[in-house]
Amino acid sequence: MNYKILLFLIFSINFSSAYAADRKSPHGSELKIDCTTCHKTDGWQQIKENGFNHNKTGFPLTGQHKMVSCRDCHPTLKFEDAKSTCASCHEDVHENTVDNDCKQCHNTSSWIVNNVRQIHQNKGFPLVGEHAAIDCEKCHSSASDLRFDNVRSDCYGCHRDDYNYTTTPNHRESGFGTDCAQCHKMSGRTWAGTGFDHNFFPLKGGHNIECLSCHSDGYLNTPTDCYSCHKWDYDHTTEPVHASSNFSTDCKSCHNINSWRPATFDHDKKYFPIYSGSHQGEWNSCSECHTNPANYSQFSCTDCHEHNKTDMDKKHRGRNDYVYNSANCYSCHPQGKAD
Amino acid sequence: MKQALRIWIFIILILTACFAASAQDVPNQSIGQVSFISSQHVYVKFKNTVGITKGDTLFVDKNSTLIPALIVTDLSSISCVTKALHGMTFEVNAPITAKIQKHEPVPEVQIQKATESVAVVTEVIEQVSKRERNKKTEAPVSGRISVSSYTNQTNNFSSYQRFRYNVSLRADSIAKTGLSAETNLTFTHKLNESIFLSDALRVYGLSLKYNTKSLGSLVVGRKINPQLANIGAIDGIQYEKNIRKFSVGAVAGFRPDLYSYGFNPTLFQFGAFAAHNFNKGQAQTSIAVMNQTNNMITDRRFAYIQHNNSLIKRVNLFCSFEVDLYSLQNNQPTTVLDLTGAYLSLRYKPLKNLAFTLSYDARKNIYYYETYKNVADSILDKETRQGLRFQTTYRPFENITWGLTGGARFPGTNTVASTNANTFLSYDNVPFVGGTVRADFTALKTYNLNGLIYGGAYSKDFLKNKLYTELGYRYVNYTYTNSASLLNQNIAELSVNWRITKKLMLSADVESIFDNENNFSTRLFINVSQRF
Repeated sequence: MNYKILLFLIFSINFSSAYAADRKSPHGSELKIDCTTCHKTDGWQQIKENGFNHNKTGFPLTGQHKMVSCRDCHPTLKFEDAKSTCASCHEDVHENTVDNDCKQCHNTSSWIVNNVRQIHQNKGFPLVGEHAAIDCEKCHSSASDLRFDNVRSDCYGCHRDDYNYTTTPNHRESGFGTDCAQCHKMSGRTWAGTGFDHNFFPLKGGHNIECLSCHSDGYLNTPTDCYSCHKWDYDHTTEPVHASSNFSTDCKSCHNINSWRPATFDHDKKYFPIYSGSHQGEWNSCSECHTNPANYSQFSCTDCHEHNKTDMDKKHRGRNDYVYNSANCYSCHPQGKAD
Repeated sequence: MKQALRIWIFIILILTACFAASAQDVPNQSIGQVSFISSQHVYVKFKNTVGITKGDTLFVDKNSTLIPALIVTDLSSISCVTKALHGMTFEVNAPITAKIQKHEPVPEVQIQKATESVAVVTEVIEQVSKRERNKKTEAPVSGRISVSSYTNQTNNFSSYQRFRYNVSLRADSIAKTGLSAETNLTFTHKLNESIFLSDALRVYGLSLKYNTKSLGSLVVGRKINPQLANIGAIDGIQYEKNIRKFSVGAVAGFRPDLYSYGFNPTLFQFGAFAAHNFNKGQAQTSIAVMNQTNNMITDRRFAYIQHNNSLIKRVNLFCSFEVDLYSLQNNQPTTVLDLTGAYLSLRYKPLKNLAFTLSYDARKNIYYYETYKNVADSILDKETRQGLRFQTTYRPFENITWGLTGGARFPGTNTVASTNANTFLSYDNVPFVGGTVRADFTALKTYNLNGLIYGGAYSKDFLKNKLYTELGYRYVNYTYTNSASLLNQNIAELSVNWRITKKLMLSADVESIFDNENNFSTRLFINVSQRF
């Protein structure tokens, strides 16, 4: 038996020396690079600057990570023990109110968040107008300044008091919607003035008046067509009479937003040239031709031209469809010319 | 038979002695041993390297014939770094012969045992470790001081500028003991506004820690406990002890004031936690229970559970849950199980150049029954907000990276969910000019607006990667659901990060926005950070 024990001892010594030789590196078994990559031959403590390419690991060094001491992340010589998650080195000052993917907001250069706009876009509340101009703490208030509790992203969540206590007009009684963007410009800086969005009915020219002028019966279902407000104007205009002449109730067809006059009624194109040609400057009032004020489809040529029937008959001898009346004059002479 | 066996044993013994033997005393020669073999070099240790120079050939002795085996590429006083000649292989402890230039009396080398062949590196390890320990006992102080400025200027609204100063310090092994200290505090104020200390100063950490291997660690002061990060800083005592793969601990102290974040002795709290670390941190689980009071009346009681798992190769799972255990119903304290927070994240990286991440979070604002009892319910948001996020990045070629991110956010029961999707494509090492170009597109939809955002950026490192710059542009188009209005924005961005010295960095970011309604605004961030 003694020789067996001796043999065992001999092989154990050889095996242990070989085994121990393989475990020489103090950096663990995972680091499979040559020593000279990092170390100089002057001594183990002499480390080559930029000798090791950290980008080849799963944790490239950027920003402030390039500035810290190796020991801050690698407390032991076994480099594989270092953790690569943010939380392993950095305290969660946000108290778990944001998830653990720090890269959503932060980069390695500094803790300053410079992509605030993109973050808010991704979280369902793009920052525009006043929301982009105010300080963060107006919405994200907390004792530590770094805690981000839930904040409602709908208008009413923050502007409840603005909605409930506005009296001109009274939002609640008028049944206004709680989406402020219906009336207020999101890009504006104030609730009124340039911050107020009435683009569905631009308040310009003659419409730039007191709210109650149009909203005397409240703010809901206020009509936007011309006739609803200007019925009286339409019904009582005599020069020309609008109603009996079957003029359009869309005031814009003849009038602009600034004034009723001058009307841009295109008599020349639509009916008969009176602003150009031989009739230009030959009249002062619509009634000179439209002798029946109750019906502007009626007009008289002969009142002005003083033609006598006999002379006209002779001139038109042989002309078919000749009839001595204004309507027929017009049908043959629509441009007001003799030919 | 026995006689033959004895002879074999004798031969083996002789061979072993020779294997473990050190240098022989041969004139003009020095014998060393292979001490370490790497993928590119063979390290040979001698008693001393006098007479050996770079470029020298080292030999192996085969049948009393010296065969050239290695070329010396570098050397120290006792060791040579060599390259093996073609076809040569070696084993550790193999004897190597060097022909020295001058005859130097080589001292008789003692025969070393085979186990001492590892003494070379073992001794180095001990030396390095000793130096490391000595460094720790010298109580180094490390930290960072930073100054930041944020300016927001608009053409039709008052502008403001905010400054933030941060100091974070850490001192380990003070007076060569297990005592260490750390602090992290911030001072913030706005230009041209009055400064009130209670509003401006925020102390996130100010603590002393005493650590012993046998008794655990004790922290006194204000500190955020990583096992209880959800409650923020604790003013008081925190104790933790590691027992093999477990760690257990307890905390007792006060919550910071809910308004000033200062010390508030009426907000007493206490709790305990336990954690388990499996397989060198590949799986970690922790559980904590905390009771928070206001004037010694229970304000909130909750449990916090966290698990991090990377046991499956290329897969990482992280989840955390916060469960409230206390409620007041009809003014009667009641034990409940109310999930106030949940976060799950799954990361899968099937290939080196392909990664997927899926995360879900649900959060309800915390309710303090005693503190909030006089606060109107109408202003407290108790809805649970949920979010879902998916992200993938793929690098089909070394220079090209593509990414896709999608998210949905559900604010609560009475509001519409918002969704967004973003994709980007980047190209590194642009030919002729270098740097990286990136194009991205985002589509988003909220309860009252839709948005399309087109962006591009060019970034490049200068001055041997000490100066990083990025120039970007975005075009934003917003249309409103309940209004005929639309908003178009042109956004220009410039970022500069300059590592002035190894420990000093300057960062600056400027963003200017012009929109179709003639609004103009600029944000400017500047940060200077000095580490020591």
